[in-house]
Amino acid sequence: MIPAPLRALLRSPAAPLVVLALVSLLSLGARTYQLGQPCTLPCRSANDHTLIFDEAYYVNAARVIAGIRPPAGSHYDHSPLGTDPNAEHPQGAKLIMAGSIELFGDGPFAWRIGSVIFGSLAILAMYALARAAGAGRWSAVGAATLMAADNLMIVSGRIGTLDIYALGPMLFGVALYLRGRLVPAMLMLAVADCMKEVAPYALIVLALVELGRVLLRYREPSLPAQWRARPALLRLSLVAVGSFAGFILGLWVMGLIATPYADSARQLITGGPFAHLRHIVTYAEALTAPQGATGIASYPWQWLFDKGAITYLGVSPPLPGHAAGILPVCEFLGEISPPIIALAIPALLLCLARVARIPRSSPSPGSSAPGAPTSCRARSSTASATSTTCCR
Amino acid sequence: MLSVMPGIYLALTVLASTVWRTRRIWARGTVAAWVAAVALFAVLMYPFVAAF
Repeated sequence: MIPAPLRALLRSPAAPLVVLALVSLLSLGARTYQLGQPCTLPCRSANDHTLIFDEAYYVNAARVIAGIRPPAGSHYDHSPLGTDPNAEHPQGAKLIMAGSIELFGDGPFAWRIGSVIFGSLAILAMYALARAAGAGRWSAVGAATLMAADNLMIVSGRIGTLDIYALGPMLFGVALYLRGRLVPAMLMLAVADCMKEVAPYALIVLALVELGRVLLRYREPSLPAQWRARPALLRLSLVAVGSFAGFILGLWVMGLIATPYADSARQLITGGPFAHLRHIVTYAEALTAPQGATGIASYPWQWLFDKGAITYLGVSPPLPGHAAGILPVCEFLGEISPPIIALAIPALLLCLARVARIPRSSPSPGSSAPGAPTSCRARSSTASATSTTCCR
Repeated sequence: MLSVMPGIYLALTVLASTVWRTRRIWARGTVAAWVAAVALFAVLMYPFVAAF
């Protein structure tokens, strides 16, 4: 089916990396095209550029950190300059945005370039993670390409929100852990924690990986000794404690640069990193939905069944005879690509079935446990709820 | 949502490669059609295409 010269080219060891580079460049192009749009006409100043979704919080917080007063009536327009008025999240991503604003000036390029860069890193991290989890080069390129082609990634990788900043370090952290590089893993996870408080979920993935290894070792004693419960617990504890310590250190350093400010209470949080952490936790605890998940809210499992699109921003064409107020026409959707989510459950079930069907004695090269002899390789999905461990 | 998606991408890659390796024409055709659908939706859902 494939011509012989092309087949020879595809068999070259460098071919997957070339394709990965092409995918990364295409993704970069898609995520930087019209990066500053949309804009209110006449588009003259930074304030004319439309903020997309939660940029209304994070960009304005970054402006305050950079000493720029947000437009009157917008979020944090009365917060003390130099502080982080978005104290319910760690400062990391907003500090990068603030640094960009100081470097490039207040405008959409500065607000969003960090997301573009971290989005590109996340695609490379996806490749690294797939390889560390035991995938072949082409499979790893496939996983990275899926990520690059997913609408959720395309949108998140070009708007000034926080999740994309945490994603790459999370993935690199898990990949390093699977390769037995525990200290770099804990550093990466600490960096991810400093970006957004969803990052510690990576530890749940690592716990599930270790649990899978322990269960496999229990069933098949010839598997690496490092897969016993005690070394697994030691590894996991080391990375959990280390990354938490790094996070606290990060909060302390970031707090020196931009003191967290509880905007709703109009109060500086001056008690150091633990006081800030307490504020983050109590703020999250207070976010309840007594009437159930309505609007853009959803239950944690609903995303897997494609709850539907959240329109981050929609700009409609002007009515006939009317001048356009904002251009260009666009629609930023917070939605996973339908072909991807449609097969998510069958794909996860296949992985679970593979774990269950692992033969009792199937030595093969490769190991992800530190210093482990070769016989089985842990594979992990990075979904916090979907980690699997399988052998081949 | 974003932080849990990599697990899905990885699982889908396993699924697609498993089906592809069956070497059956209909199976490979299905995988190819699915890959084409992923590419198509990447274009259709692109913010400045606004087809949705």
